[in-house]
Amino acid sequence: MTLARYTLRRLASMLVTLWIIVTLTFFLLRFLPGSPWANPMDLSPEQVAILNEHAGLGRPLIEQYGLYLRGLLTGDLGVSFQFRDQPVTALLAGRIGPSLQLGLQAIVVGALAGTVLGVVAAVRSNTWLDSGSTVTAVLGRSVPSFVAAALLQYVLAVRLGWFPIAGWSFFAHTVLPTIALALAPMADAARFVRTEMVEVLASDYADLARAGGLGPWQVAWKHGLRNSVIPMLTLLGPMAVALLTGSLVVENIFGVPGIGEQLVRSILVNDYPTVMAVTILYSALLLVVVFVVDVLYSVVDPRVRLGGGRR
Amino acid sequence: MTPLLEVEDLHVSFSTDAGRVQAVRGVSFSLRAGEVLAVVGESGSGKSVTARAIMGLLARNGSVDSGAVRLRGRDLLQASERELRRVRGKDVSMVFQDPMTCLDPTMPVGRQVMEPLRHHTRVSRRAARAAAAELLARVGIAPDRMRQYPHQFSGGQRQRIALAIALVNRPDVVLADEPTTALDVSVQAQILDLLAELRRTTGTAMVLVTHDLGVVASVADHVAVMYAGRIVELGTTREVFYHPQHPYTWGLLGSLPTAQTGRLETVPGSPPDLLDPPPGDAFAPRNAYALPRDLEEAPPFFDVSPTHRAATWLLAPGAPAVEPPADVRARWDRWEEQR
Amino acid sequence: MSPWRRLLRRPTSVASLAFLAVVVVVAVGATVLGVVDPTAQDLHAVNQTPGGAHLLGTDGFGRDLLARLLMGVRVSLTIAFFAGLLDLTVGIAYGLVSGLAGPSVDAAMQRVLEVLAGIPTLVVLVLMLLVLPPGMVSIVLAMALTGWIPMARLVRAQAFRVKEREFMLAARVLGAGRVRLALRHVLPNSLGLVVVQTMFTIPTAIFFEAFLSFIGLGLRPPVASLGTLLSTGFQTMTFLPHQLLVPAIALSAVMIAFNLLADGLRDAFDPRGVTRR
Repeated sequence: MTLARYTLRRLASMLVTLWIIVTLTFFLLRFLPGSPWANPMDLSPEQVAILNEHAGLGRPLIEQYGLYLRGLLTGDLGVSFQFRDQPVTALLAGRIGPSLQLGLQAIVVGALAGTVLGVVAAVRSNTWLDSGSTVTAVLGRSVPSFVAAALLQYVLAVRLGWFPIAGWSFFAHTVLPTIALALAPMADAARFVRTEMVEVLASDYADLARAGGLGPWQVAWKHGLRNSVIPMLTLLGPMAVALLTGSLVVENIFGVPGIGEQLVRSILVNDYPTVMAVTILYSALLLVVVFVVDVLYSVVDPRVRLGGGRR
Repeated sequence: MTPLLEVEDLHVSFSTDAGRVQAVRGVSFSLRAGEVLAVVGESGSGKSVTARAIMGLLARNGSVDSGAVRLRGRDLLQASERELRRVRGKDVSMVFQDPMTCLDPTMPVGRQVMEPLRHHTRVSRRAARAAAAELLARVGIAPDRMRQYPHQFSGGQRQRIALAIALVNRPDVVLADEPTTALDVSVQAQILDLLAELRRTTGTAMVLVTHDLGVVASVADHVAVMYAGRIVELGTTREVFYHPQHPYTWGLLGSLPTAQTGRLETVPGSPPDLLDPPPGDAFAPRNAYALPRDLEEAPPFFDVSPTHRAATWLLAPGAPAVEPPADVRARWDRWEEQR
Repeated sequence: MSPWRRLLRRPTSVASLAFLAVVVVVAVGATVLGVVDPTAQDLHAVNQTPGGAHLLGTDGFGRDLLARLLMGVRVSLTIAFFAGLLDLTVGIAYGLVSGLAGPSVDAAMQRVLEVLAGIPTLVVLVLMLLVLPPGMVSIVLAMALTGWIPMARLVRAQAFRVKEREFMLAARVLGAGRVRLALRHVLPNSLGLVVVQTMFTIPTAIFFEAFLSFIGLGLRPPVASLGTLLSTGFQTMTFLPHQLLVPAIALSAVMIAFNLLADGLRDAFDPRGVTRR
């Protein structure tokens, strides 16, 4: 299969999945016992008015669905219950910056730190350095990001005062949430790189490099890194999932004005249009990440690219 | 003339869950500049381990217990890891068995040929590229394929590239560990021709590790036959082929024409357990010609000629004369005729 | 060497197993037998620091934190147990049917699986808990909605592997029905991998309970769970850090133990790494 055909097929299946998510979301919120549409009496008259006006409440269901789909395509995600006059799209657009910055910082820091830990553990395998790196990885995987966030905030901000407790004005504000979010990607990357690197260092081509006079770190740097980091691309999907999940709470704890923080607020005040919009946004984002990683992987890895198959 | 490479009483063992496996138990040989020595034996006889020990590239659980590996008189076993790295790929280089796995799959082959050169000498990228291109052309790879990746080449082509990598610094010695084993028979012949040609044109000495006696005849000057971690017979290629003395060598030669692959199926029995090697000649239990003494006491080397020696009590003064198998007898007869 | 012996040769696995056994016995035993009472309020002893009559201190209503922690662990483990059980049953059933029913059924079931697998767990959880009544049952159901997918894939792959093998052909020739094949051959052969997979879903479930409760979608106080304890503790962190530290350390310790045990199980049962990503 050529790359173009493969890409198209993946794209199509991604769009189908997204459409199904959107549809499920729509009907779920109309039929399940706790949904606003099933319990209009729980809503305030104001909210009912918003729904009537924007979502076509009272019209036939299929028409509402069509309205909703058309809205999605044109970027109209409805109007927030919480901020009455604000369209959800505008609300989220104003909040995507901090989330994106935080997410990127965390993934870069996490992947870099994890790679370093993994390489060190592999090159010095079965020494105390390896054990230390493994312990760090197990901690990073086991301690949930929001627990880490709370502890970091308490120790480094509240007690020691090294960083601001919460807020989003200076770079210093981003440090603690970045660390909290980077722990899980770091642990994943460390584990992954160690496994891959141990395999690479035991390979014949690593032997050949050693026979050419390269030392263990040079072999790891010149041959190991590329061979073990390219497959790490496949980790980006799970990493993005972990980051999104973590961002809800971490943004909340550190008062970061991002999407995750907004979602938690909207959940607390039953701002359904916003919650729906964010879940669709998240789904789309994750699907795109997985899709891009898939395509990227086949582009970057010469073995896959030329149909050679892995090893 | 002093030998270029001298291995003296080398002992190598590996620690395993079951205990220490004595893979190499006192191997000695020497190699002069430009010579080719073939080390022949079954798998597990310690021939590859010997080659790796010379390079200081044993697996992590392996260690050299005693002995010396002298390159131009300097003992590599005493050298620091740092000093060794200056020797590897420069003075001594290595070619591995499986060309499908010995090249980095994510690096263009040209860069892989350039790597040892750039690592050991201060040459510019351009000069290195030119040198790599020239060398690749010599081993039969078109230089315009330098940017291609290993999986775009056939097994035989990859082994040619591996040879280019081994030769790029014009080393004194190339250790080739079963360089043709993983290849098709027709490709094997091409690689052997190439080895013979390179040896002629570059003057590089070579240790050719193989289990395939067929490989040896056309390329090697000397042959060392290894069994259970020891050399049992060592001589010029002609001596080992036409005047073999150790019953194990007889078995190897006897297996040559019958089995098409050249593998040693026709030597009955299996090699000894090197966790607890037998006290005498390790081959004795499989050896129809073994003397009682072979089972009890390790035979020393007995000189057959200044260049030929074998470790079997059959050569001891006063040992009973033994009639070798017919095919060996025929070899001996040819040897006598040609003297 | 049997997988169990391989597992027991690993000190971290043994330590984790022992730790978890103690935690389960103590948490369940103490709360079921009424040794501790997580609801008793002592308004004369509010927000006490650890030590004295209350080993881990008290909360804002004068409830014993140790009692609440034990109750919380029990609740979290219960949720994890049922989530794991649901994943197991649905996953195995789906995997077996898909793996053994024949190519067209399999293809259809795999399309469904592919689409479902594309839906992020977070999205499913948020949406479901928004519309379901709050409580343990809702959390378990929401988690099980997509949680069974990895198990189904694993069992299907295993069914295929077993199908290829010689003895399955033999069994087929002898006229064994598909149900019999599934029960007699595929299931026993998948047991190790299923155990490993389940061990990975349990810490995930514990995490999501805590996570959902923390953002206000899961359990709510006064119900004690690791999540509600954490979220209450977080609010008073500045002045009463132990109310956060106690559940935070407990949650982390349980998660670490489960992860280490799962790692050990995987290396013991699945040395070739089938369940690895």
